[in-house]
Amino acid sequence: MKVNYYILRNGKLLRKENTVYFVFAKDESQPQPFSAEVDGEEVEVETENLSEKPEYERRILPIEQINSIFGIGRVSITSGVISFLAKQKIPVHFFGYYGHYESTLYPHESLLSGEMHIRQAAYYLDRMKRLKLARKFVEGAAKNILRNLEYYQNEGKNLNEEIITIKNHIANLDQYNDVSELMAIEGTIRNIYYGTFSKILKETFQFEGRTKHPPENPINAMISFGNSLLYGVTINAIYHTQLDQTISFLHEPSERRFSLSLDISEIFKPFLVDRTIFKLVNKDVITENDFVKELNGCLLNKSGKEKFVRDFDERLKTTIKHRELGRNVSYERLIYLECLKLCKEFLSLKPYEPFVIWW
Amino acid sequence: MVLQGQSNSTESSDETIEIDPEILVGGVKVNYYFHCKTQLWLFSHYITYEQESDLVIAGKILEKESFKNIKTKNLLIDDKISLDFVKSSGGLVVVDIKKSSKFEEAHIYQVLYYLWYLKNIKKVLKVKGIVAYPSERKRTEVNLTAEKESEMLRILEEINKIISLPESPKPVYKPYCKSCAYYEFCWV
Ligand code: SF4
Repeated sequence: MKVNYYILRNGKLLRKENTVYFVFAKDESQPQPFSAEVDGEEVEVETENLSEKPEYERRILPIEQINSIFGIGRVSITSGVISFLAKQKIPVHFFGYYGHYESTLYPHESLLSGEMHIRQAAYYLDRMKRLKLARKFVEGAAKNILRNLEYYQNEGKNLNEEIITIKNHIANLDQYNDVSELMAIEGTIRNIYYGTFSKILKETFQFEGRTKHPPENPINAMISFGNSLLYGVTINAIYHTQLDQTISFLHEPSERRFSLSLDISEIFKPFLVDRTIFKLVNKDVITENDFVKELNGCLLNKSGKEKFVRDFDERLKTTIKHRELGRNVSYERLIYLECLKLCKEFLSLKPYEPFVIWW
Repeated sequence: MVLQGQSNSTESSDETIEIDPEILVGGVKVNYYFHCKTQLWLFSHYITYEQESDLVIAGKILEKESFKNIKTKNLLIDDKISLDFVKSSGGLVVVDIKKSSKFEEAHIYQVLYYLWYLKNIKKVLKVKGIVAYPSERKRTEVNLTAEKESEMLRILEEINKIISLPESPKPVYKPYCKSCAYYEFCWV
């Protein structure tokens, strides 16, 4: 089973023949290997033999075992590495200062199928078909939200009212005949859900509603970071199918380049991201010390990101016996299976039903 | 062409027939035709999935290991069929190396198709075929009889019919689905 490789430090990826190294300064406060400031401007520094200098450390990346790389720290990359990773079909996702997703170094599509492409596009162009899928994504997201709420209701939190309201919203999804209306109702459901966070989470952290660009408090910082990681993981899953990353149904395709990932990750956020947050906060794994508060925002510091990534990745690797397949699959594999279910919808083999936590 | 029922019907004649090049397919498709129609349709529309279970990776390594002492020469003919040849004292032999004889029928027809192709398209006669299973120390000889030859034409027509269906045939559960690369796709 290939794994995702998360790089939290600042540093540079270098290649020597068929080996890729990550080189970083042992002392983080020292200038990083990839750049230095000269007269207020960032310039490339000599990277030749860098890894032999005592103040730097290098790690070999086990390329054959890597599914994708998450550059969470400031990771710079040489053209030699770019072409090598592309050849190995390893996408590299880059994240910004606030832990937000920035871009993906995307290898060539190796599973192109004209048939699938046309069918996916036809679904977008057919208003009713697009609407049907968009509705399924909202339904899947809402039902997984519900599963989280029901869990905490069983744990003794009083979430009755919110549960009933969300159930009503789900029952009424058929009424909306426009994708923008569905987007709006998705937002409404999410707001009701976020409103319950103050009851679900320990009092150490106040939530006070969702804020982005930048997130204003720790919970928002974690939501943003987690959603960004999930976005990357979903891009990976789509990459291993014939689906086109850019044709989406709930989100407008023009919004972001890889917008199908936005649609699919919506379904998995409550399960993979929010549950990570609940656990980290309620088990006191993450504390105030894991965040940096700035004048206009809040972000996870390195230890915070590390804790988050560790739990998130553990979750991805957790396995569950799949009901239809009768074999164990990882949570990460569930996202891939979701892509296959979409393929089957496009091929008229089986109507798409979104993943809902069944255990 | 030799007609069925003739006394020498087990011996293929040296005559070849005119073939519409449109009906020619890759050898794998002949194999898939016997294995599964869903697989044939999906594969023909470039819908393929990588198998990633550790078991399969182990299998691939084993395959490489156990076959490396068979010296074959690979040829890609007309960009369509990829053949492995071995030279033998008796002439040219097409050999197809397979992992297990579980799907022997499909393997045999794949080789029969190669022989048919060589005869009718390339006008290369008197070629023998072998399916080899090195891990089982087993070899099956394949001969293109007149009967098989006309059957092959019918199979090709069938294959083309399936491929051009507007929709993929629905998966039908078979005991070997669990070891198929499409298992997750078909049964999720
Ligand atoms: S899983 Fe079964 S039905 Fe699907 S392609 Fe394979 S053999 Fe055919």
